[in-house]
Amino acid sequence: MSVMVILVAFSILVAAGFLIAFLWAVKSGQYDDRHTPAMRMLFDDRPTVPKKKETREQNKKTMKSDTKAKPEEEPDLNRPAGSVVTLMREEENRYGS
Amino acid sequence: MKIDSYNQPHPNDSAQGYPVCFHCGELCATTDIIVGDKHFCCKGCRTVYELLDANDLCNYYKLDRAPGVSPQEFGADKRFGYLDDAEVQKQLLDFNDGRTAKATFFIPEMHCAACIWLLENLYTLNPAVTQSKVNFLKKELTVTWHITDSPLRELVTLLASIGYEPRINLQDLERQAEDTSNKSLYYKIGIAGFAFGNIMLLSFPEYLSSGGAVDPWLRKMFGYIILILALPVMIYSASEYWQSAWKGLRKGIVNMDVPISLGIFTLFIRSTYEILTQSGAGFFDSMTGLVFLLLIGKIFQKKTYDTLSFDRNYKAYFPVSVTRLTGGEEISTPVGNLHPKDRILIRNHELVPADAVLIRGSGNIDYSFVTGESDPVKKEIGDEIFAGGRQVGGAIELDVVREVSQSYLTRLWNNDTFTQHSKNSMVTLANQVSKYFTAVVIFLAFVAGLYWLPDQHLALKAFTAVLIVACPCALALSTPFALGSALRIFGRRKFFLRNTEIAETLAKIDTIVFDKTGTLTRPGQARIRFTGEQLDAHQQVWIKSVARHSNHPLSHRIYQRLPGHYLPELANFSELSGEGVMGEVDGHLVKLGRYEWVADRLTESGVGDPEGTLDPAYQTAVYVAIDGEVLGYFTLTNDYRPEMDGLIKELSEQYDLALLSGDNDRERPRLAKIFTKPGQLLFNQSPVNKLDYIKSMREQGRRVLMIGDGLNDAGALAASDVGIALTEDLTSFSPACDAILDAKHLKELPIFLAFAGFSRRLVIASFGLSFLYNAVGLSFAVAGMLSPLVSAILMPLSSISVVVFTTTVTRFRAMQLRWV
Repeated sequence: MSVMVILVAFSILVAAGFLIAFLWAVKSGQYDDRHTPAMRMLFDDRPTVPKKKETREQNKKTMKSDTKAKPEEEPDLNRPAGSVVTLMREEENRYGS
Repeated sequence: MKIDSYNQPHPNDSAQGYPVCFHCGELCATTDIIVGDKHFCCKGCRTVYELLDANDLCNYYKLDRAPGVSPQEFGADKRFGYLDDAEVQKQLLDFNDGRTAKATFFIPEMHCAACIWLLENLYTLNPAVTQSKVNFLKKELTVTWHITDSPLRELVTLLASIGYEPRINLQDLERQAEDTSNKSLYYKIGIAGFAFGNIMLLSFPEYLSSGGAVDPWLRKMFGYIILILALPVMIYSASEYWQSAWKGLRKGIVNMDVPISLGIFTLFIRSTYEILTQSGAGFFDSMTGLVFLLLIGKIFQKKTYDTLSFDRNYKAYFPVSVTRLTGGEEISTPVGNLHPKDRILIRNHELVPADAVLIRGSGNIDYSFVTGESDPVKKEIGDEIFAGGRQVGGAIELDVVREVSQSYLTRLWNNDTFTQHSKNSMVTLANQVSKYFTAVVIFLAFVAGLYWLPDQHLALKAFTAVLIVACPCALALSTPFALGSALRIFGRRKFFLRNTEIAETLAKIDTIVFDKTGTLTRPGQARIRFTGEQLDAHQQVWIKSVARHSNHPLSHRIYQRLPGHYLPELANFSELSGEGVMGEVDGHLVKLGRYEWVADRLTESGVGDPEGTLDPAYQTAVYVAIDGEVLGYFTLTNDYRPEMDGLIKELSEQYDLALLSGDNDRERPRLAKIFTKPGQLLFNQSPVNKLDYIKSMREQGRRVLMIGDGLNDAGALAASDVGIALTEDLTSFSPACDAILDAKHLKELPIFLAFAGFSRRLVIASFGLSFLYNAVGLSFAVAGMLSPLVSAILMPLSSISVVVFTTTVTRFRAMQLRWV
């Protein structure tokens, strides 16, 4: 029967672990805002560390000159503004205010 | 997102052909400020663009055309000067250790995912920012930054220049500590749920075997574990019930929490006794389950609307500081420090914080915060301007007459209505029932005990069993779930109630009082009507072209309402204060304004009214003359909501109605047609008059529902049993109230009231249901046969069936109304 003691103690320990995880989640504010994180995760990668002005201008020029040659490079600038945002506007209509 | 004027070319730039600023959309006065192929109206706009461009944030411009605000437009340099004030900073910042600071801003302009994206990338625009986080529903931005590198003012200026100006007002300065009660409710539920689950599991051997089969040693161990698990539930999770019951008893009120506490307490004592003496298994599973379900009910009842605030007073609309003029110098002064005779400067779109007299400039005051009417009022030098008005147009100078707290409008908040909580004395149905319920239960417990008396053990058992089984868990859950689901249904129809008690009170209303302006009429929707000769399309365009160049509110109205997109060039435009405007379009001289001026007193065309015979309502008439011929006049009349007549008629069958208006009684004939009973129409009511009227109605024993929209109704809303603030735009403005209703759904008011009545009847019905369960349980208890198993089944069953019953019936009713 002593095996029961170990099992019961272990099961309560596991349950207590989940309880602590829940209390921690509440305390750290994970239940404060249940809407914004859902929208945030749809953003594309964050903007990189600010580049130096010159290199950026150069980048722009090269991109302009061979847009047709390298079509896969261009959407980088536009993508977040496209479908994701329209999608989110719809979201907003549903949830907002 | 933005104010109209940003989208349209600036009225002062009559010349066409100039480029539009890429950042803010203003017409550029010069073509010098260019980056690549993009024009900017000023260096400020260019700087913001360059900042965004340098950081790869130009997607911002793809999301909305010309979304920014020119730094010059909002006068960044002076406008946020007060943020350098140490006292203001101390109150605004959540945290500041001299190096790192944290602040939360309310940004009403936030409206889509792109806004979140830009605001959370704030660190690329200002390197001092270490973290910025958006709470979208609350429209809040929390920023942590190095305050040594970038003062608060710089941060706010940056936010404003990218189009997200934080709204900082007086109430922010008095902000209290964050409300943690909601979090502690989550903790309590977590702990109760944890204990409930585990105790259920550990009680299983007890349920399955009727005693003997379980190893006595194991049984002992399980019993002790159960007892330890139940302790935090008893002490922490149920603490609210002890406190509430104790508070009630001390005041001599037997509220619903008294029988609940009694039940939980008896459960605990008897179970502890049984476990310690090994005489039984105890009822801890029932006890923890009961607390868990009760807390779930509590959280269901607490439906909150993040974006809405029910507690705003005038301070939420008043600015933190105002520009004071002393010896020609402009000093940013906290509003509370204003004294009579101070000279203040109010710029375009700034609020007048205290009653003051106009000294310089031309006043054009928008009182929409106060009265709900958005038509600006013209003020001349020497006129008194009441606090709460917003200047639209050029800067004006004013002399303060009264301190902020003593001003015409703000004085209202000194009334005791705002300090007393008279509404809470409303007895809820549940509390009314619990008084008798508790008495009956205690009586039954004694009877049962006395019946078995010779056998002391059995007598005690029956006595406690009655108290346990009668614990009104189902009873306590019927109100939160019935009214809580009603609250959610109302929310879908854009009718937001502060709490469930309001839903209950709503069912008992017998008198409805309306405000006129902004409630029965539509703000900003005054109808414009032309009387006189028929205007042809050309003439309409000419008039529109002239009206566009005037800042007068009436001209603005005419401009907005007249058709036509392509306006011809205007020449020789001039505006004579108090007279009208004139200009030449396509070679025709167009004059708009007062009859005497427009007609030059020379032409008599017969359409004008001879002086003195004008109906007061027509004093706002704007006459039109083209090439010296008076064609007729525009009149602006209050536009009642189209549903008003039907609504009033429908409501008057069941309720006593009244109307309180701050206006004069020129609309009486129109309103008397629908408010047919005598004494219903009251005009020229000041905010305090309105409050007193509601108070006197309540003293006569009436239950009053007040519907208003402006700050001038705030007193009446607070004094009434239920105060509903009507709002055109849910994100904007509503004074302190019990409920907020979207104006589009005003016509559903009778249905809302009927639904509240229905919910109340539903509560009563579910009371009946839970009494039924109690009767079954009591029959076991009185017979002394209440086993832990019976209790463990009966208690959750009764609670859950009440929950299911109330929510389904409410939903079914809503489906009948096609609301879901």
